[in-house]
Amino acid sequence: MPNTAPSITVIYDKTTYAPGDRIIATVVIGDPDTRTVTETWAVKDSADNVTEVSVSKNVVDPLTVTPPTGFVKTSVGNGSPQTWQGTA
Amino acid sequence: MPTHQWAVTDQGGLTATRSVTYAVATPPPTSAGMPPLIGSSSRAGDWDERKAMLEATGGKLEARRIFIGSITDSANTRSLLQSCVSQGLVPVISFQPGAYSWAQIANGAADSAITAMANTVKGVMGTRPIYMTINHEPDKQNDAGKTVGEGGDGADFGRMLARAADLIRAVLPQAKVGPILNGWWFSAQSRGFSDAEIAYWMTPAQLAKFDYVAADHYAALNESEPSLTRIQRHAAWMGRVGFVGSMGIGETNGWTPSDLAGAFGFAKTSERFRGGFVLLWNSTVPNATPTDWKPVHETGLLDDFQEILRAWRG
Repeated sequence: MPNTAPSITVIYDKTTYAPGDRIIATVVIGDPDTRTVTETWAVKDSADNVTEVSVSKNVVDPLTVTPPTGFVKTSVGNGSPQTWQGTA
Repeated sequence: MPTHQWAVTDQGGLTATRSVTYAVATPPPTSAGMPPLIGSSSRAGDWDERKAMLEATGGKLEARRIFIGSITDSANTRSLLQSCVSQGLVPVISFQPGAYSWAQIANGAADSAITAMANTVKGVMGTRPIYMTINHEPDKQNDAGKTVGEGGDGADFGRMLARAADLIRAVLPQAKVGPILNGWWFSAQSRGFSDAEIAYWMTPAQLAKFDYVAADHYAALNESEPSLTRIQRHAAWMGRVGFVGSMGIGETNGWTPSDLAGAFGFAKTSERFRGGFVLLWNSTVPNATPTDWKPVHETGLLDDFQEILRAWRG
């Protein structure tokens, strides 16, 4: 399966800061790839007979953001957009 | 300008990066010290060019004189203050009352508008230092008497600004608020005001509300009285009335090299100016005369001011 590079866009809330000012960054990430995740379910009866079924589904390629030193994520979850906070 | 590196990586190990460059504005020297902040004015469209011209020999402006046509003009307020933040300049900003008379403001009719203006300023400036006033040069230019001003009776001027000071500081505790008066009030000539005539405009209780009392000081147009004379008399008045706040010069540009040096030299060393400001008038006026109103590069005083600026903090 081809793997296409993800994308990232970062927007800061100001263009100019005083030393020590808080920076609020909005981070938009995306990936055109999807990956197939397979889950296997099993059921057993009282006679220990087991039936298994596999379910496959496509999910968006999970992404990991690496921020500059000192930034912490303030939004919930790993979706997009994300909000991060750092210091000028 | 500092740059931050951001990256995103997928499960397959592919990475994309993004660089973000931003500016950090170094704040000017604290206004609590000496010498006071030195700055200039210009028409808004000329500012970058004029600033570069004044700083061309290594000096650094610290403050910028800003004029806003009405306390309700939030767009220009935001734009010009953001420019100050970007350039690391302390704003000295005056608002015209707009539709309000001094009496109306003093009686509370503009409380919401002034509070809204202060919040507009706060949105840009945060806790950064700023000097503010309403209706600089309050006196009518052609007033035969000494009790009528641009916004009404002179007795309402101090009431107006004292009320505005309380409203502004409730939103901007760091703001310095005070009047920027007509410099001729301190003239030794017949046009000058006595202490009692000044007190008609600002009572002792109202003066106590102000962080500074500034004036726009020019030499007499016939060169009969240099600006330094009026500036010295302004300082002496402060002593007589016991005003312990800062002195300021909102505008001055010098009739001659000695007039320019006299004004800035006094401001640089007088303890009255501690925590205050002295600002060059550098805004072109359409009229060609008098010479006194022209910017320094049109009066042959550019190099004089450049040297004053370069040597300001030693």
